[in-house]
Amino acid sequence: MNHIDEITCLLYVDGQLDRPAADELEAHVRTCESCAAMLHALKHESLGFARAFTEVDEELPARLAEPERVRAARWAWLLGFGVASAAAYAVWAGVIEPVWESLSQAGFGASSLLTLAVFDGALWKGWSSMIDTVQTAAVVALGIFVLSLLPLRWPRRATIGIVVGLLAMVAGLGLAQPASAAEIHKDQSYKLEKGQVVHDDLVVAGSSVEIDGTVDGDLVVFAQSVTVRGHVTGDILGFAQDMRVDGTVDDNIRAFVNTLTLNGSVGKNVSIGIGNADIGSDAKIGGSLTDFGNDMMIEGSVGRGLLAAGTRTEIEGSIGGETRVLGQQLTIGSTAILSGPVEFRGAQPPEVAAGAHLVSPVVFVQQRRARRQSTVRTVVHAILRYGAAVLIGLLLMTILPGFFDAGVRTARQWPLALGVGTLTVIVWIFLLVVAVAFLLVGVGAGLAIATSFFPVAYLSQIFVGAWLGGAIMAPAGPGTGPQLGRLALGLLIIDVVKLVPILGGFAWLAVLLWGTGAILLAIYEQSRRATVAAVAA
Amino acid sequence: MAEPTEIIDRARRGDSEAWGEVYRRYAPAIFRFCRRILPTREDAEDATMEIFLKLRDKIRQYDPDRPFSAWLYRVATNHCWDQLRRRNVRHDKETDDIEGMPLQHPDPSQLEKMITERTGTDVRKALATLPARARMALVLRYYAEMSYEEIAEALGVRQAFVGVLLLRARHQLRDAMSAGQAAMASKGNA
Repeated sequence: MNHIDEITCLLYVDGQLDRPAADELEAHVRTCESCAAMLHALKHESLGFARAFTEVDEELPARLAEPERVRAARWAWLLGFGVASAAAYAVWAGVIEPVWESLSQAGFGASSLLTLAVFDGALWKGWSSMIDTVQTAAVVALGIFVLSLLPLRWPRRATIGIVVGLLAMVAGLGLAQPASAAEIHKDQSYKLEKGQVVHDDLVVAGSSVEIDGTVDGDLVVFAQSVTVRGHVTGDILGFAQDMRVDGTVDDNIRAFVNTLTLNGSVGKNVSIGIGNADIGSDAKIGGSLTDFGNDMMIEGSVGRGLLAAGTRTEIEGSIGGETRVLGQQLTIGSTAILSGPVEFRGAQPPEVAAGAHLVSPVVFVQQRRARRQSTVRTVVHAILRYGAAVLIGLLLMTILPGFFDAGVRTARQWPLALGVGTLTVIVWIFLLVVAVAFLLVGVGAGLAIATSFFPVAYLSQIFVGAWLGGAIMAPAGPGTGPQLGRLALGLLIIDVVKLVPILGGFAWLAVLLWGTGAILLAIYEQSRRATVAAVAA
Repeated sequence: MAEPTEIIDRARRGDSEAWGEVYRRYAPAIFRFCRRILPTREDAEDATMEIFLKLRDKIRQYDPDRPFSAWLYRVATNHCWDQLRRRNVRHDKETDDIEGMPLQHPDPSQLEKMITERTGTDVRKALATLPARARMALVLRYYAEMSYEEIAEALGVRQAFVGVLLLRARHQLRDAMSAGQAAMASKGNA
């Protein structure tokens, strides 16, 4: 007797056989126990599968509990964009614009600072000259790293498009100004002898750099000690331990140095980022002098204004424009000639020698008053910062709920998170120092490293705050509300602890390291999840 | 489960409260559906969220003369199948393999024994080890209760092939359950 095959039985069980075939099967089954048993087994199996598949084995995850969270994604993006725009405007209106205005009022030129510092100055030319293989590789590596976190969820065409676009952008950057490529030197010590001329921008890195000859372009220098006795027709952009300029610079000096000694002449402006400055009696600055360093002594002449925000400022020379000083102490010597108005904001009144020539008395704004203002400001800023952090936390839990949950979860494993965070910050500082301070080729990469860390550093408080709030209150329940409440409490505690002297500093550091570790572990977890998913599929 | 036609109708007309009710009623089932098909819990969570976003956008297109749950599972199936295909599931090769694979006629009593002895967890664990297409076919049939025609349309195969696909998938699931049982036994002996 021929039995009915399994596929026919299955089609019958599923109602897929036409009537004649079904009748034939039913007639056969009435006389064949084996096929009847097969039919019964298949039906039983179908029921078993249906029961196993539909069994409620897992509850709906908390983040899916309410449709509001699903709907939130769109307005959250809009809100995020709005907040970001508002924050950008606030930074511009509250920080950049007032500084810019005060610089303009102080006689520091009418041109845009951004244009001055970035596009017209040595800074930009230097950077564009320094884009080389290492920087290109760094940008590509960074791009690939970012893409590696995402591509599993992206259509392949989009991924390819982005990679091609990235490569084209890098190529475009690298090839942007081949004609103006600078002369680049990287030696232990470099000396441009007297009479020698470099007809191009000169970029030098080394322990000791001496320029006795002529640079017919900009000089960009990274060194322990720099001495310029020759002539630079463009700008000097210097990162150095000690810099001494006895020669002539036709345009600007921008120095990020420990000590700057200037005895030569500068056609335009001098800006000092850090350290001490000694503007000698032979020094002649055609434009303005800006100092954000420590101590400064001015014996030479400054054609236009002075803006100083150091600890101590002493003026024995001449200032052609307005003088604005912020710091602990201002001394105006008997040989000083100040042709513009003078304003000093400090703890104690300025010392003005009897023989000093001033067109008007020094306007003194005592810092005690300023301090009171700044206390109010500090509190207002602290409240705003707190609100912003809570808001960003809310956005994060709405837009990237999976990542937010993962971050809070990894923050719970605090020894691991702290360890990873510490290691990351050490590596980050090491890379930054190596890239920016020592290796000429890595300035762009260094800046990329530095800026890439800021968002992580900022978000660290949110994850630690969310964990802390969760640890104090009851375990996390479903919905945004309870999570937000925990975050708000945690952030508040962190902000209050940060206000305590000494302890606050340690707390800040701990939160930074801990949160950084939690974020990186969460990123690792998320990317691993995607990889596992791909393999499983 | 009787379909809440009035609530669905209100949701179609843009009533957000009704939509919330629809979500609360169907989201757990859709999550479990995604959980059976997609590789990880996180994938299922993301997919559930994305499916309901799509549903919300498309709800006006829903034809109220047809069952709502069928439409719901259709959208969910398309989404999950897209997700799996994006991860380079080589279904063409899989189809060839299935068509060429010999099947052993099972012993009905063994089959009865197996389905009686295995728990729901055993079955789901075995299901998770199956190739994507086999997993998908079984879930569409025995979870979403789709017809052969709907399965054929969803998976892009001929309707005549669906029976073969399901039978092969059942065999694979039985093999996976036996393998799971054997592994448990050897662990117990060790």
